[in-house]
Amino acid sequence: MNEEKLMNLLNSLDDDLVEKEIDKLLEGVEIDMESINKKAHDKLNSESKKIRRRKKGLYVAAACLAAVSVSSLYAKDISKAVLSFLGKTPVYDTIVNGEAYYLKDSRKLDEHFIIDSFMVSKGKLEMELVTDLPFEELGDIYIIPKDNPDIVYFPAGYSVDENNKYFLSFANKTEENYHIEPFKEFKFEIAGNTYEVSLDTAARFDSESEIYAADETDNNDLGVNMGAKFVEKDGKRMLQIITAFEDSKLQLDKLGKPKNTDVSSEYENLEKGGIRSSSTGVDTETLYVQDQSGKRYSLDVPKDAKGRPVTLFETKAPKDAELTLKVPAIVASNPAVQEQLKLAVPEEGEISIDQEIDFGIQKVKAKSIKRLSSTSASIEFELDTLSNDKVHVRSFGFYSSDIKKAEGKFDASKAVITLEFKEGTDAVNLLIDYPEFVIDGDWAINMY
Amino acid sequence: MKLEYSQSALVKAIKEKDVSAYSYMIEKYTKTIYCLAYHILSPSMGKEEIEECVADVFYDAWVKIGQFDEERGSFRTWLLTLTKYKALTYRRKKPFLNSIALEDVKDEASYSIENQFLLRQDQEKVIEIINSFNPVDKELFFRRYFFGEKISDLAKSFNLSRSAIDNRLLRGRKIIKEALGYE
Repeated sequence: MNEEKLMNLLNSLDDDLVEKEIDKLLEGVEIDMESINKKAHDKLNSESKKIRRRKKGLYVAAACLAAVSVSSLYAKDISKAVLSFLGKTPVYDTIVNGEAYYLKDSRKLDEHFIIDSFMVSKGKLEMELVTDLPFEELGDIYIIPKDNPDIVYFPAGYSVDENNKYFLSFANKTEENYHIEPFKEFKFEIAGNTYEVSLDTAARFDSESEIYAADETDNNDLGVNMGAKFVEKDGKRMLQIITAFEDSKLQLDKLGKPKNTDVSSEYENLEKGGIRSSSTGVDTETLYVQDQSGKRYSLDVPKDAKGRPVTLFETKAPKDAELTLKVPAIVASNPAVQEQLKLAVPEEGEISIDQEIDFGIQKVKAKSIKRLSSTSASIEFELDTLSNDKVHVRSFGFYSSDIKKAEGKFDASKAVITLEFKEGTDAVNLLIDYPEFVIDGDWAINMY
Repeated sequence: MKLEYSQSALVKAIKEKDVSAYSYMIEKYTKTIYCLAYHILSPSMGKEEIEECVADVFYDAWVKIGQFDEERGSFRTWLLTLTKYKALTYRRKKPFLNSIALEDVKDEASYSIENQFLLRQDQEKVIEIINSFNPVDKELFFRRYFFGEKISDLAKSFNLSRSAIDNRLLRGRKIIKEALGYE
């Protein structure tokens, strides 16, 4: 046996045999695996940032969570964007977090009802229902998961279009909150009838998902990872935008920069009639992809798009072009925020409050409260008191059982909430919740 | 749950810049690479430098994965070739270790081996035979034939003459050859 042959032979040993022998050879030598792991990932992290600046990479999202467990802390450091997209599930024209079920095709229940779309994921339950019956004949509408019949969901909000299609958004009636767990089969109760419906499982992004990620280095401080991929749907080439927040409590409301910064919202306690509230919707500027020559192609919301917020767009951009997606801003909210303000209403004039309210990624300050009349007062808030010029508070919710009516006006730097209450009121407890933010990330994603 | 990769899946995943594969590579091959880097760099270099060298090898593999050719040898062998190259580069940086044998440099660029199939029982037999050698010969064998360390380096490391190393290796090869029934 010559040198080369023996070397070849030993080079072909199975890994487990080699490892055993190496352990013996290294007896007494301490290897700091953690330190080497960190150093190797630091090199990748630092070098890949330089590379990404020159050429935005095509990332392939790893399929399963097992991959995450292997990659541990350091992989997270390296490609937060890619890892944060794991667990996202595209459904209809939107994206949800984690497990999700939906109705692949519309389902006719009987001569009166067609479920046009249905999707459920953690915290989200939406249905589009077409019916020829007037609203007052629909009666109580309930959804009861087959595997958890103790929970009942009911429509917490709805809208209806000219074709009698209802968009229903559900909440948890049993727990009186928005706690929703995904389910595959359910009973649907409406107009005194019960229907059984089975759903399809929505597929998460898998290992074949070619997701282009925005350069992580540009907006590290914003805690938002932005990605995009091309999708073929109904023979059309479409573009899906994926957003992931480091703060899991944040949720995407809309992609794009709002056309207006001013927001109005109203709230009125109708007592037996319940609560009526309304707020300015978010209308955002059109998003674009542009080719190397700078020519722009709009991203259009599909007609009859299902699921909110819409993240899947039609585009006429040519297939062979090197395209860059631009996302100047997004609108996001934090449904988890609930802050109580206990306010004394002055008999006359204005008094200072100076109480800061922390919304996580931004803060506001309740500055003062001013008596307007015997039954009204106004509170002034300074917005964006946290030094971060890329995150702006667009609006927040307000509610108090002590008031009859409230109206809020938000502009770029301040908010004024006017309260109407019973005569003799000298204090109010005001619940501040559901802040909505505009995040000016100015993301650019090279999709080539 | 831990993700396992076959060699070809690992190479494919690294080519696709899957960071999970990078982590897996580190987890799987650190000991092997450290062992060779340690033998080449120790004792003149300390823990920090050896670790840097090992980390560099992984990053090199990530960047140069396109150069890996499965037909020419195993991924592990390729990593070991990168390790030798990197460790020798580290050694060059040390002024007092500036003299590198020409044979070392010449070999670095190539990891070409004859890719041969070896039955598991033969592998185990070879290991068993090498393990039956005295401690010095055993370490010599692994370092020479597994890591491909140079005879001149081994001579320095073991404080033996070149011919003494040659003789010990020759003796070992004969034993293995007889045991496996090779001509």
